[in-house]
Amino acid sequence: MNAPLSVKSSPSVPVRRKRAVWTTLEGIVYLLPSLILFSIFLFYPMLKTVYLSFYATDHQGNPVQFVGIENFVYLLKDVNFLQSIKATLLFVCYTVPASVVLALCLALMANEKLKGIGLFRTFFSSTMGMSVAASSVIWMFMYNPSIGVINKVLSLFGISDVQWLLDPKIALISVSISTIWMNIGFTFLILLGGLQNIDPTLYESARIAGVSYWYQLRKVTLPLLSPTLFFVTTVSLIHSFQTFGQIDILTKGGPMDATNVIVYSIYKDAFINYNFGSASAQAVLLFFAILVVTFLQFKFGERKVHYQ
Amino acid sequence: MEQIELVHVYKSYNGKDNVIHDLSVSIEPGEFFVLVGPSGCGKSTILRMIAGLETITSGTLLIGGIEVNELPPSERNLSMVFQNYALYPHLTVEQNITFGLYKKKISKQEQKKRCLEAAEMLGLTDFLKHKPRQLSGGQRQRVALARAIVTHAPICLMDEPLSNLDAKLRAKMRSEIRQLQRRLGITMIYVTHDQVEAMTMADRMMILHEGRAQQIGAPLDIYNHPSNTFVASFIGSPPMNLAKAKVLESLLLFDNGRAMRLHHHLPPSTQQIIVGVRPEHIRLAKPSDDHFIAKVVNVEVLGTETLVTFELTKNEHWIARWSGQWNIHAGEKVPLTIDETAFLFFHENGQRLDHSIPSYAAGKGEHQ
Repeated sequence: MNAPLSVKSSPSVPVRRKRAVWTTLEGIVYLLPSLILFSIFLFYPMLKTVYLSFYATDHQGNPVQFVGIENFVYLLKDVNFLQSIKATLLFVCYTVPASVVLALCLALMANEKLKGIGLFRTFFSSTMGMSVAASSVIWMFMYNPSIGVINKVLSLFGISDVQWLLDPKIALISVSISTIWMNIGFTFLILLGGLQNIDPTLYESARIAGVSYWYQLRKVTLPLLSPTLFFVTTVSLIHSFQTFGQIDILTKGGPMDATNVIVYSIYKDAFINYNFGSASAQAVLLFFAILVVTFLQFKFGERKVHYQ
Repeated sequence: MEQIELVHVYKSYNGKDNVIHDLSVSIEPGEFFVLVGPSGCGKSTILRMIAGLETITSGTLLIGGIEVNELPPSERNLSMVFQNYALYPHLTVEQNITFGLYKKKISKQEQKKRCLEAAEMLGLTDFLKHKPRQLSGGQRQRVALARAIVTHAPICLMDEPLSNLDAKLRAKMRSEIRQLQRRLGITMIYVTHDQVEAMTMADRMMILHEGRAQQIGAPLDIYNHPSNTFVASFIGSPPMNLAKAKVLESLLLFDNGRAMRLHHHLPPSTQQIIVGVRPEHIRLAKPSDDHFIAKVVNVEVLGTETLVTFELTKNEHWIARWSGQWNIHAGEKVPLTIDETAFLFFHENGQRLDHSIPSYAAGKGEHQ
C-alpha cells in the first residue's frame, strides 16, 4: 500500500522534468506579446544604436566604416557637446527639485478635507492632461516679449522688455519654468495618491498626542510618503534628462546653444546634420548617464525610504 | 481620575439622520465602562466624540465637570488605543511609545523612565529597538497599550483593541487589560462588538442598537434583567430563547398548539407577548416535574456543557444548555421543564413587561 502511494506523491524524475519544461513554456507564452513589442520597439533600436555608435555613417544612416570608440572620443572633446551636458544638468537641477517640492506642497494642501477640494485636485492635476506641444505653444505666447501676458504684467511693476526665450542667460530658466508647470500635474497626482494611502488613524493618534503640524509632517507624513517621493523623484529625473518637445517648440536649442540639451543635440546631429554615428554615441552616453544616476539614487536615496 | 458625562448627545453626519439619538450617560472615575453593540450601532462614533475626533452635533460632553465640546483631542487629557493599533511603521517600539510625549514638555530622562516602566509592565523590554513589523499581533497590541499608559492620562479610550487577535490571545489580553486598568486606576471606555468581552471586562456597560442606548448597567443585571428583546438576544451565548405566545389566564399558548401552564396569572391586559428563557434554565424533567415533550433537532457536546437544540414549535427552535456531557441524539424526544422564575415576558414591541419577580417566587413556593 505504501509503495504506490509514494510513487503518486513524488513523480519520477523524467515526469517532473517534463512538467517543469511545460510550465516554463506556458510562462513564456504569456510573456510573448510584451516580449515581441519590447523587442521591436525597444531592444532592437537600442542594440542598433549601440552598433551605430561604433561606425561612421552615410546620409541614410548606413554604417560605412568601423571607427571604434572614435565617436565617443570626439564627443568628449567637443565644446558643443560639453555645453549640451552642462545645459542638461542645469535643466535637471532646475526642474526636478522644483516640481517635486511644488507638487508636494500642492498635494499636502489638496489632501486636507475641505469643501470643494475636489475642484482644486482637478485643477492641480489638469496639466497632466495637456500635451507637451499644446502647453509649449501656450507658454510661447505668454513669453512673447511684445504680446505675452508675462511681460504685460511685469510692465505694471516697471520691468520691461525681458527677452524670455531669446536671452541666453534666461532661456534655459524660461524653458524650465514651463517644464515644471507641465510636470506638476503628474507629480501632484502621484503624491496625492501616496498621501491618501497613509492610514488616517496614524493622524488621529497624532491629534490625540497633540503634536504640531510641522512635527507631524516631519515625523509621520514624509517618512510614510518616502516610497512615493522616491518613485516620483526617480521618474522625474529620468523624464527630465529626456526632455525634447518643449525645447523644440520654444527655443530650438538656442539661443547660442543655451538650451541645447542632449536629446535635442542628438536630434540635430541625426536628422539635421545626418551624422548618425555621433548621434548614436550621444544616445549611448545619455543612456549610461541616466543609468548611473538612477543606480546612485537607488543606492543612496532608498536607504531613507520606509517601505511599510 | 475624572468623571465623563454625556448629556442628551446627538450625532448626525448629514444634518438629517441621527446616527446617535439622545444619549445620556455618566461614567464614574476609575470605572471600566464598555460600549457594546452590533456593528454600525454607533459605538465607535460615541468613543470618537469623547476623544474629540468627531464633533458633537448637539448635546454636552463633560469631562471632570467641564464642558469640552470644543476642546481639541490633545487637551482632553486622554489616551486612545485604536483597533489597528495605529503604530508608526518607520519608528521603533521605543519611539512609538514616546511619540507625543515631547508635546507634554517631559524631559528626555522622564520619557525614557516612563517608556521603560510601561515596557516592563507589558513585557516589551526586549523589543524596544524593534520596528512594529518585526512584532507579532499580540506584541503590537501591547505597544499600543504602552503608548496609552506612558501619557499618564486619567482616561483611556479603546476601540475594539482585541478584534485583530486570535481567540486564545484575546482571552489573555482581556484579563491583562483589566488588570492594568485596576492597577493604574484609570477610567476606561472600551468599545467592542463582542458580548463576551463586555460581560467579562465591564464594571458597567451600555448596550447600543441603531444609535440608541438600550440598557446601561452592570453585566449581570443586564444578563438577568434585559430591558428588551434586543438586549436579551444580544447578551448571552447562545442567546436567550424567545418565542411569541398568547396568554390565556395562566396558560402560555405557543403556535402549533404547544402550551405551558404557569402557577399564577399573567396580567390580562396583554394577550400577545414574547416569552424569553435563558438556555441554562431549560432542564431535563424529573418524573415528578411538570414537563413538556420536545423533539431534539441538534446536539452539540462541548465537553463542559451540552447544547441541545429542540423544536418548541414547528418553526421555532430553542436551545437548552446542560452542564456535562449528554448522550442524546437528534430525533429523540425528551421531557423538558422550565423553572417558572426563569421566564421573562416582553411586550410585542420588545419592551420587557414589568412583572415583579416576587410574584413568581410566591407561585413557585406554592407549587413546591
